[in-house]
Amino acid sequence: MTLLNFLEYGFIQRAYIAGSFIAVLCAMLGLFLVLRKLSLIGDGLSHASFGAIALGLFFGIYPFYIAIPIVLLSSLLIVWISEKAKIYGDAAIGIVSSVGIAGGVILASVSNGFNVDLFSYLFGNILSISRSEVFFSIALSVLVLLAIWFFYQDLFSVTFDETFAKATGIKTNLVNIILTSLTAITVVLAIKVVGIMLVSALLILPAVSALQISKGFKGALFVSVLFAVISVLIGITASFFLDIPAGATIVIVNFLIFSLSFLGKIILR
Amino acid sequence: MAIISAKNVSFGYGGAVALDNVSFNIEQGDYIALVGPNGAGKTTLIKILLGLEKSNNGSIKIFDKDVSSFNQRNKIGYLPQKIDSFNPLFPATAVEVVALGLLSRKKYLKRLNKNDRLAVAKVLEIFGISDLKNRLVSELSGGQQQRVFLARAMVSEPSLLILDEPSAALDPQIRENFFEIIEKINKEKKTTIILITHDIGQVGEYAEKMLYLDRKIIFYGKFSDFCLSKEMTERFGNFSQHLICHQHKLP
Repeated sequence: MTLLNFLEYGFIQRAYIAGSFIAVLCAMLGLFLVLRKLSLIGDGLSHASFGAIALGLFFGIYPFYIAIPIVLLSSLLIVWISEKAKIYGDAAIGIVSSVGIAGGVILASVSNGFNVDLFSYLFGNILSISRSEVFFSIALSVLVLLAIWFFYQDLFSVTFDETFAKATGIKTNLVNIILTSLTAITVVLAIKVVGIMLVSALLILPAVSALQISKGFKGALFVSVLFAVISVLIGITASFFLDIPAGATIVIVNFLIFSLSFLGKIILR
Repeated sequence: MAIISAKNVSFGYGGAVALDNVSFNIEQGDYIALVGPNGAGKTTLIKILLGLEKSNNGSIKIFDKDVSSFNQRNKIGYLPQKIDSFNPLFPATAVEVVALGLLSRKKYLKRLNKNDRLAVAKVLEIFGISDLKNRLVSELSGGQQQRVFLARAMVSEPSLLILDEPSAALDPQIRENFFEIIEKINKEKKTTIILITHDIGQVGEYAEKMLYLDRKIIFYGKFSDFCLSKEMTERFGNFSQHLICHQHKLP
């Protein structure tokens, strides 16, 4: 089979399009999250989505319709617990994450027959994405990208120096809520690409790879997006020809890019 | 005209009192050293002025507006105590960091326009760091970083500049140069300066007035008056008082 034949497949085109949009989101938000030492929020929210997807399957509702509001609420809960209970963000993420997993496990044990479906969400499958899911992903991606564009300077300022940002009149609590809410939507979308278990890799790896070689924040954003999209395209292609899972392949390609960036930085230093 | 007017301001963390019934006025063009021992409430007072904390009692007016409703943040420039509190992995260039000082002027869609870029270029030139504009802040020396952060505080041309222990990370030569720049800003632009410092010896060298705080105001007036005051003798003893004042050729 030639590459041109391969590109004619509808499911490959859908995977490329939806995967690239979601990769752009993950790369942009991931950079803010990594620099704010909130890398594991993706992990926590994806675990919360495990519970939400189980809830959707339990009631026979399309899981993403349930997952988006529940994961959004979970993200707000992380911000709220961190502020009100005066604990560090990682502890708040840990609480929400474990409650999500526990809820999912209980629902799976009391239900009959949806364990196989739930398993498919754990590792994702971008190649099985439907036309309506592509439109859904694109619409939400555009919404998240517009929000990042609108709040870019606020996000930049709060990420660089939160105290100074507050002193200049930026509503830092609101910015934190916006960042975690956008992350919540992105995490749910990314589950389709790499699955619950590997979502955080899509948020973290392009960002840390870009940080190895970039000069300036805008440069890092651009490189992070470039790496994320390249890894998704190569990952989907490789998974098809090698007959291996797409999500895991995308993560491994991301890791190879990180390794090369890291080595390049050491050699060029 | 008083640009800051504090009346009976009190603040406590839990059961501990950080500020106890503090009242003072600061006039346009003043250069004031805010001095006091550790835990005296200096940083707390500044946080209240910046709207980062709310006082438990009393009132503070800034530029004739209550601090809780004051929203002209571009009138205040702020150089935080720990310039190294930013994430060293953050790949921000000097020009990107300085531009952050302009966000206080902007409302919703915060985008830098041509005038903003000119203002950033101008302030970089004033502080002699134009050649560093595309360098990563994390790769600069302590003195260079201090200038970048001072430029960030000054880029909106504030009427009030608050410096929280700015000399802590600087070596003596750079420190002297830094304070020369601050003095010039005060004299030429009539910018009001509030300098928080531990270093009582530094006060008379640069600032005209001193506000000595130890949860309550112990002294507020000219440095020359402080040298003759009983409060200083009680706090520092005759010998230290003589040394500090002699250093600045005061009686």
